[in-house]
Amino acid sequence: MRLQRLLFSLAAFLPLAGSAQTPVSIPIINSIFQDDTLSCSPGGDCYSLNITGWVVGPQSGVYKSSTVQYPTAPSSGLYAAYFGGGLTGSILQTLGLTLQANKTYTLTLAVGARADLSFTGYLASLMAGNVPVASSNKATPVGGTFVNDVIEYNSGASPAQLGQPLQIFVKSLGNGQVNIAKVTLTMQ
Amino acid sequence: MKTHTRLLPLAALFVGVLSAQTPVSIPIINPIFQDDTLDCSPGCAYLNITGWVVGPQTGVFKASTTQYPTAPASGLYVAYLGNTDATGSILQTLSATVQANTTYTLTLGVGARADSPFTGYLASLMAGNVTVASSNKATPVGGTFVSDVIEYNSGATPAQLGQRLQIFVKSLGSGQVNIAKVTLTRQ
Repeated sequence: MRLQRLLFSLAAFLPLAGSAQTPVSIPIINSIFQDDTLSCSPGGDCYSLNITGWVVGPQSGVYKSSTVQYPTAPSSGLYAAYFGGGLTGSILQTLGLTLQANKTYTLTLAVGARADLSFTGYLASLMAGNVPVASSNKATPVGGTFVNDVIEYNSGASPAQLGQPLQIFVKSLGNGQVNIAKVTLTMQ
Repeated sequence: MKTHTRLLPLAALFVGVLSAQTPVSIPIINPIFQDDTLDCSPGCAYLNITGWVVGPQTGVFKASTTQYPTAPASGLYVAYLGNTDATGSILQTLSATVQANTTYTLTLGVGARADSPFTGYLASLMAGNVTVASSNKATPVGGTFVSDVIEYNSGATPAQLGQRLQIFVKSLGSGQVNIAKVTLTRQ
């Protein structure tokens, strides 16, 4: 009888432990910046202001780069968000999910520096209700490459922004350009 | 007293039936694209649209009779999405959220300019960044608008329950799509 109780308790605990460890992907519109199609040939002049699904700042849009900008780009071009270049730029998306307690959120961004333009930094933030809850600018890609920046946020038992919509925000710093090729956000 | 007791449930039922059958309009910012004013002569356009998150090559267009023969002399305001340079899109997140056992009806006035190719579109009702219903069945001939009506019945336990509704339209191909009006109702 004792053994049965023990097994029952363990069985009840195991699914909880399993679900707590499995990251759940949070939907992002146009997360790899391929929802828009540019008809121009890949290269430095192939871009357009604005990006489907994202609220953008100045000098921000869709860019189809060639091997001149990223040596590993396919011949059909590599789509990414561009922001900044002379002016600063930004992208922002408010998500459908709200901030929950006792969750770990992981925001991952592929941050790129063009080989033919200067990269002068960026700031990426996970926000909730228009308030940053975690930020990073630690990726330092050399020209022609992308580097992942992984931002973790543990909401704790009673986060100040509990129930507020989650948001992803990235801005360029200085007068260089930042490219973002992919954004993902998970919760566990 | 007995009569009162009998009539009360009947009255409640009647009110219930009435409310179930009456579509309720869900507020949309700038649904007929007339919130922006262009001071140019009809036939002109400008990037971006009040109240909408837009993709590339997307904005407000004040069409003339060259584009739509029935346009008034003062011009016909619409959204334009896409052109030969890039595809375009419009997106608006509403304040209303998905409720169970509710039918949502999204209606769009989809237009094809008489002076520019129309190469298709995709219109979606979304919730929490997830598509719940889509359509691309309107095929307007040049110079006309056709309504596309998209219905979504949420059922008893929708996956997106409580998520905010969104309206999303994108152009396909290298042509242009015009949207003159967007409405969303629930019942």
